Amino acid sequence: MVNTLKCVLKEARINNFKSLKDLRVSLDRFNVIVGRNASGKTNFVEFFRFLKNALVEERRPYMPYIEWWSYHNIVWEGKEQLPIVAGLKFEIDGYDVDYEVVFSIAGGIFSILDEQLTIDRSVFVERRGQLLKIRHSEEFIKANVQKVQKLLDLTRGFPFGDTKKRITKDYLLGAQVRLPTDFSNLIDLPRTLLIPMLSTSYRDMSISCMLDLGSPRKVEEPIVIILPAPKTKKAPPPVMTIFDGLRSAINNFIVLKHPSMKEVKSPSAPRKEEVLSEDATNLHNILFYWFQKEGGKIPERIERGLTKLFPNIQIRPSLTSDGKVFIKMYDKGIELDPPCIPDGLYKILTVLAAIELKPSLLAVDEIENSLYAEALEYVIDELKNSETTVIVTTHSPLVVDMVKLEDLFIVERTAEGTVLKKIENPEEIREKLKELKITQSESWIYGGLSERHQKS
Amino acid sequence: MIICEDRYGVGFFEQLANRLKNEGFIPGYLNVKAARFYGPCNTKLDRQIKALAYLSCFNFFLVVADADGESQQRVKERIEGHVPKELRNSCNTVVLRHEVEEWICYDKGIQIDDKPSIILKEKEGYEKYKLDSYVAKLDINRLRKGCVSFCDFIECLLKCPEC
Repeated sequence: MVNTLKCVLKEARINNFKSLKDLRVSLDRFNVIVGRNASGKTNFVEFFRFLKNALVEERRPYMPYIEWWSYHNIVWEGKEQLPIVAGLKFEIDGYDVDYEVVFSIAGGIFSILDEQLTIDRSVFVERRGQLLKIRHSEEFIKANVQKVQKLLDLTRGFPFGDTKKRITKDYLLGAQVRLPTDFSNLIDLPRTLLIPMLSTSYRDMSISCMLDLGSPRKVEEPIVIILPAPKTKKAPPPVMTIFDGLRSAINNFIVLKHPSMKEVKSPSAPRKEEVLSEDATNLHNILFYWFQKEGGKIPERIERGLTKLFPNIQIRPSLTSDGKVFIKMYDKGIELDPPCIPDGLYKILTVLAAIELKPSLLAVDEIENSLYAEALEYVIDELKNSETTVIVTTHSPLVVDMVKLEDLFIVERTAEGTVLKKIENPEEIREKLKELKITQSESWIYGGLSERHQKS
Repeated sequence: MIICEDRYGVGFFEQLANRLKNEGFIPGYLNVKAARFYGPCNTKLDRQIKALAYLSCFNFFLVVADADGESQQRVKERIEGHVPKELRNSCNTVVLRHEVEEWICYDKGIQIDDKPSIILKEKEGYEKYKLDSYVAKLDINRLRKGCVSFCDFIECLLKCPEC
């Protein structure tokens, strides 16, 4: 699923997930995480995978930790009494959207305890169990008294206008709504609020109301949210667009580990696939789907990338005699089957395919695996120019040398968990490295990027 | 050896040099290759130039760097600070005001009021990986008449001695 809204992940906050006890990371477009084994690099990347499992993927029974076997394995020091807290800050279509969610396995059942959503510090929505609280900031309401009144007047024609439940400014400053029982099956706030709502707008504000439309999901109180226009635009969208954007953004996280070569080289039944799996086991189906959709072509980004790195090689999705999909390689025109395809070619295909899917976040664990220097340079350049938020982890000195000091996060494991630190004074360090004729990677390995140069 | 800022530039400059040779803008004896460097203030550049000079036997270097809106002179100084002293006479630097896509914009008569690659993306769906496909479309004569950085680029290539 490709998100049509512009969603940029700006910050991640994590409490109690694996070795990440208390972490707040401001993200740029391109982020390189370096550190020794077991420092927590992969845990940081897996946090996004867990969040996607927990918030978007429809799994029953609801056990989003199952790929790590148990909650014990994903919570800080195995302390199951602790909740896992995740916070994400996005820019969605010009809005600053902050979403925080608390997971717990209290009572032996994994569930979401609490969720909070803030839009531009003007609109606050919180859900705890079946209780939904909606609040608009006092400053926002005070600053827009007339427009708010006009919007409320406009809703009089809405079905709840016939009831006695008139919306007042007091309601906007703090309302509580008890959601019906069947909402308790829903697992996340963005989805909870993706319910039929009527919207209208006046000047630079919109008002969206969930109404008692006689549906089985009957709500006792109306849910009303007023949204100001974002800084960048004149007209505000209905609030559901933002909820949808948030949900799509999380759904569009792609987290890649090294491709599972045995699986990716094995033909499988054709399926329409649009979400690349973590170990690229469905890569051939994704390529096959594109190939069919584009009339026998693979995306230009992939075709050109392969031509540059492997000038004599072409690849095409193909079918076995029993109708299974696999990738065929042509080396100077000679047909070769998957066992003859280099692992590095699969790795490049995987990363380029992930970029082509336009994710809201692309996290690649140990980017350097299977890639020679030029291929690594090409893949890094493609990631930097991909217009998505990219996180790569690496042990590779080559990658550390390829990127700017400003792109680096140094990961360390402390008694208080994993910490990610940026280089505090890159300009000064560059001068020092120049004077000493030491490379960035050497300074990382031998201690030049020491604590005195880092900031949390 | 042309040393440029990203892998897209490698294909672009190698193809461009071949075209310039074929069309007689630079001497046919030049054997031009390209490599990527890791930014104007990266100590890796010293080692890269040494390796290319002493191990791969290249006798002339042209570093093409992007100023990305910064002072071109400052970027040039940074780069030259990383060129080994004994090889400074064999090394030239061309700093582009933004990036190499400004040549494409100039050629198409597009006014540059933003990053050229972004302008091209908005106008014609440009992506960096398509850069080398523009070599064949460039009007070299037009660029030579008025595009300062392109003229500097050709002038530097003409300084390259015959082996």
